[in-house]
Amino acid sequence: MHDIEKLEKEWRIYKLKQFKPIAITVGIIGAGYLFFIGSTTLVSYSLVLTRPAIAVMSKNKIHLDQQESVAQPQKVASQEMVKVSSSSNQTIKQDENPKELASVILQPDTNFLTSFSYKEPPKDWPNEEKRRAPKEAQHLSSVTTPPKSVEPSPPVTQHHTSKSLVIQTKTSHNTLEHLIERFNNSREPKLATYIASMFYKRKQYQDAIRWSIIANSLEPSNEESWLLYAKAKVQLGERDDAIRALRIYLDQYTSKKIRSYLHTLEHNL
Amino acid sequence: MSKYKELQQIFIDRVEVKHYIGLDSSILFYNQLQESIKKPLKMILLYGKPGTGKSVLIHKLHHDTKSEHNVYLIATPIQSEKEFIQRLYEFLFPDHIIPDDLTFNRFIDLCHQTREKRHIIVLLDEAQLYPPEMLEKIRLISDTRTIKFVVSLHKTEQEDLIAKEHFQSRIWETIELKNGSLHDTSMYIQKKLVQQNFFEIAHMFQKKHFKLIHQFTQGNYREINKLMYTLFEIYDYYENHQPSKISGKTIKTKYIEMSALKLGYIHA
Ligand SMILES: Nc1ncnc2c1ncn2[C@@H]1O[C@H](COP(=O)(O)OP(=O)(O)O)[C@@H](O)[C@H]1O
Ligand SMILES: [Mg+2]
Repeated sequence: MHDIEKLEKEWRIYKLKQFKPIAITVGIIGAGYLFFIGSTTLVSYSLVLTRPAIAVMSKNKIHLDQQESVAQPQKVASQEMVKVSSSSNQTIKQDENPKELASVILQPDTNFLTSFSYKEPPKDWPNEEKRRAPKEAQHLSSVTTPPKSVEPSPPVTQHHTSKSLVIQTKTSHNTLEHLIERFNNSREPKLATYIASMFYKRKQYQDAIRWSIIANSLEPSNEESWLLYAKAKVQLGERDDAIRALRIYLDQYTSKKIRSYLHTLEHNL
Repeated sequence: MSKYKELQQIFIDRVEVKHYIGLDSSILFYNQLQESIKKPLKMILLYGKPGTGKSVLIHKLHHDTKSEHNVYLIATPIQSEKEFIQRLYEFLFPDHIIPDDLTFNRFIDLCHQTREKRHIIVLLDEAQLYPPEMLEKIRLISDTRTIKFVVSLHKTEQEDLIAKEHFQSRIWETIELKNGSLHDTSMYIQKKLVQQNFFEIAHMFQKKHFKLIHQFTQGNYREINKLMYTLFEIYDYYENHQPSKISGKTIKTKYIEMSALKLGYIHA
């Protein structure tokens, strides 16, 4: 099922939960009201008993009948509502179409981070180093804006997608270029962390550092980005930088993972 | 590109001066900052939670003042000390070639020598990413009074720690950026839409929508961007699959709530 449809389902649950307390209150008030009506009818019945006027009694009966006839359609309506919602779920299911699933690119769903296995991107993927903007321009752009997204219409991105279009099957959705494009569209810190980790796996440590800094600037508390930064620094032989970064982190947050890695570094394990 | 895809693009986080929006809060902070850099201070600390608009502000300041004040910007922290000093050298002596033997101490000497002749202002964004030793050196450079620094950093739970350790005695002015008010949230969204000529979409938002969005995002611009991006992603989906679901004249609260669910502000 498509993400948005899943989301809609989730929303229904959310609304239902939100609605519950209201429903209970309405129920209590309703019951109270019925009780009140009931007691007034009793009173009027007793009045009837004392006053032998049939007209009053019949009026009361009419009143009661009206009550019932109002209540019944409501019941029917709510039953219908239940039916409608369940049937719309079915239509949603029918709508599910594998083609659409493949063509609609969404904001990163971080779920895939756990299930996804790393695939080597296409060979013609240019080296990150080559694509870098000239030094000056790079420093004028902000850290929260990686080179590509600085440009109003990213020609680089288009270039990549057109190149990889042929091999753009379901699995290639998670190649590095795709992830970077998705990141540019979403600014999801977890995605930046993930991109950093991919660069790390490819032993492109400078790029791993760059992406972990981007992730960090979006979400400073995320321990993964700090870990990646430190690990990449270690790989570049800049152990001191790594230790320093982890100490800064531990000054502000607590993390077993970071503490143990720092311990390993400090003791040259 | 479809309309809603275009609308998504508007709310991508990007720091671009041409898309700067004057909001009550940002104008206030901006004027404060402009005043501060005119004063004879060594350092100015600009801090606030991520997404409060620090980078945007610092880029705008750079853009508006670089010609008159010799204002320079280092937007991405430079990790190596050598490279950092070289960059400062370039700023301070634009016509010179960087000497091979440029050390930190040599640079401090040069700063002292040039003090009477030239002053520059250097804006450092994302300064929380500089290692403490570097911050200490930045402090020493500022002591020469040749370079004045505007340091922008994230407010963390222990922001005082950073401020105290590295700057307390030197920073004579701190500006704290905060999340925007409900009014700022509405203005931000409306101005962003109008800026790109989406007048009819801007009209689809009513007070109740802004209230809801503000409630979810707390007036944090990065969070507002995320929410709006997701909202138009949902609209885009329905436009392609069930257009009847988005046919109303106003934005549906439901879709704002769905966006909030997706982003984890609320839970089912
Ligand atoms: N005054 C403003 N005008 C336009 N956009 C803004 C403004 N303030 C914040 N934003 C938006 O909010 C996002 C986050 O702001 P940013 O400056 O990156 O925050 P910080 O540096 O404090 O983390 C920016 O990418 C931009 O889209
Ligand atoms: Mg920033």
